[in-house]
Amino acid sequence: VLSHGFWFHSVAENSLRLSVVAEQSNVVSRRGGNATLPCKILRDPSMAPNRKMRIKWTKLTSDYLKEVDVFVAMDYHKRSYGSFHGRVHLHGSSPMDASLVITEITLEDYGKYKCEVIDGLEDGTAVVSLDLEGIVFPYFPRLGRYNLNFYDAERACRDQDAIVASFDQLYDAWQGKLDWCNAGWLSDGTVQYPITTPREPCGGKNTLPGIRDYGLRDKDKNHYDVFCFTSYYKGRFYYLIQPYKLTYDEAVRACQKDGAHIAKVGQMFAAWKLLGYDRCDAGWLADGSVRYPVSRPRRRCSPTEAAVRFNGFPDKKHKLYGVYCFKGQN
Amino acid sequence: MSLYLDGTLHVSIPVETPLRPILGSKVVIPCYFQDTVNDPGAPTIALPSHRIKWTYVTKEKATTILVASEGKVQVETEYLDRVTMVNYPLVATDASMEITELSSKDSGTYRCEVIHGIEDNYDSVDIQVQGIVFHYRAITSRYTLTFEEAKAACSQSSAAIATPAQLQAAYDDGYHQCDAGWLSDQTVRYPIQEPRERCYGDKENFPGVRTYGVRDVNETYDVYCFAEKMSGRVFYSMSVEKFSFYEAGDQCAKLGARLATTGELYLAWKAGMDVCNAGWLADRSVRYPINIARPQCGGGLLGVRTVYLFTNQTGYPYPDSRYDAICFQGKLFTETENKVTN
Repeated sequence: VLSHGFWFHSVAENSLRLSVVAEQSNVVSRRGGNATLPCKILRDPSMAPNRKMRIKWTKLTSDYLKEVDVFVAMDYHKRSYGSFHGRVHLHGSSPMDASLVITEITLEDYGKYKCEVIDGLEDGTAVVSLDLEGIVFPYFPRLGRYNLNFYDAERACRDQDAIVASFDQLYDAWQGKLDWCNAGWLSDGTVQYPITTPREPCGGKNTLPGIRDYGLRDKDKNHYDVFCFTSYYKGRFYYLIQPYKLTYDEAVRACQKDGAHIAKVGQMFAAWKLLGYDRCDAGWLADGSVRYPVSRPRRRCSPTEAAVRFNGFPDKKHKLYGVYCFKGQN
Repeated sequence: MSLYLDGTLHVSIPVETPLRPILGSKVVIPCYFQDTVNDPGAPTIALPSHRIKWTYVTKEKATTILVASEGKVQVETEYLDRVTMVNYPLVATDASMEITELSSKDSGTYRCEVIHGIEDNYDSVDIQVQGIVFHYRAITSRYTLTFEEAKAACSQSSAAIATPAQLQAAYDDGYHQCDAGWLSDQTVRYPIQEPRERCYGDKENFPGVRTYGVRDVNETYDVYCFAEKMSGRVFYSMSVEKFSFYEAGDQCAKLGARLATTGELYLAWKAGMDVCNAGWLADRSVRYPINIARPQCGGGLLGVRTVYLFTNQTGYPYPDSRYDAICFQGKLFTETENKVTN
């Protein structure tokens, strides 16, 4: 062992006296639900037992230089940060349990979390991913295709009760057969699109299926569509039974009269994918688009595939469609 | 009530980022902290109870360098011998760290994190290790430079003769060259990663920088030069017919520039320049910078590639041979124009 003066001593002397493990590297929950991110402390019993251990949870971003504080605890002192305030606590089944419980999960909670345990000079970390059950959908607004810079894209998804999808979420959707030939922003600032049936205008006919990647793009100057992600909601999504067809303005008022709001695109996708909602009536949505969700394909109703059908963004004065509403739980 | 409730912990690295230390040298990264945590129960004389952690961070991962707490410093194995806490634990609020034997691999972001109870904070700073070591051979043949001529050759290439520490740092970054060259301390050495017949390494069979020791100034070798920083812009001027050596010089002059030196081309290469056409330089050598490996450009190898006259890698091409021109333009001082308005 190398010696470095009085105050220095080498790592080898006391390595592996503290380690931190996550028994599961992946936890799946949903919006509105709870999750326990596992983190277990393994400690050499020969270490002095009277030390105060410090447990800190942070959320990782795509950049290691920017972690977001979530929770910290050291004996009786505890603190939670920002949007996690009041929603996180230690599981605490034993002194060696550093698992974190998150309640009232939001779409933004999706991602990787780091559990760090400090005991004197020793420290250890473990990383756990929190995945959400949900659905990825491609989106462009009324302005048309390829009109969103990254910040517009973030706003567009939020306006549809969703967030910008991550690459992993798009990858899962691609494995679930999502095929979309327009490039869209992802949360890491890259622009990509998923192809399951290779064809000439979508990266070439003689290519392998896969996710086509334009790489990192300029978040201000470049304009694309976006892939949004949403999960379960608390509330009721429904088609409003009306005697007549409606203009957009009439549609908005009709939902209000019913004690609800005109539904958002994300809510229709969530209802269709997660709850099997099926309705063969084209209806207005909040962004001025007209769509209908079909989960059981049949003649004259999306005969070839289960899908949310899209009738575009018609003239808002056309009295041609019904409306989908959404009633929040409170 | 919690002692730490109203506490704030300030950590600061009070330097302009990035720090630009020189290859092979050392750097002190200052880091100070201030703690307004009110802890009336703390003893008046005690070992520092703050925990200090230095980390080397990239976008992909964080690597611990050292941890210090309660007067003890624990250094990670890969940094042993190279880092020290300069004032710890004597000055209670000073977390400054010194790193020696800097190589280009040490360029990156350093984070100084201080923890006290549940409080924590950090500051970070970027470090860009400056300069590049290159092997230089005279126009005529291998091993023709006396010690004085070696120093002159480097200086004509906008560089200085390299120090042993700089060559060692270049070796640590992966540099290898089986040619004996002068260094600033009048020794002759060469860096070998894979020892082999006629290219022995340290103590014959170990990888390392092999040294012939201090040599008589009149013996002749190649030389290792060190170029510190770019003071302008290196660019190619190309034409279909190419240029002779003298035409190349005229071409650069026409563009308000001059032929670049070998040292300037090495610095441009280090900054990422990649051109698959050979070009004339001021010392009549012909070279090209390759950062992206491809078989048709320097045989798939990276680096500044040199075109030699003979297959044993000696001699420069004749001056009437035709290549592109590699020019250099010094920085323009546009700031002086703006000053008039004040």
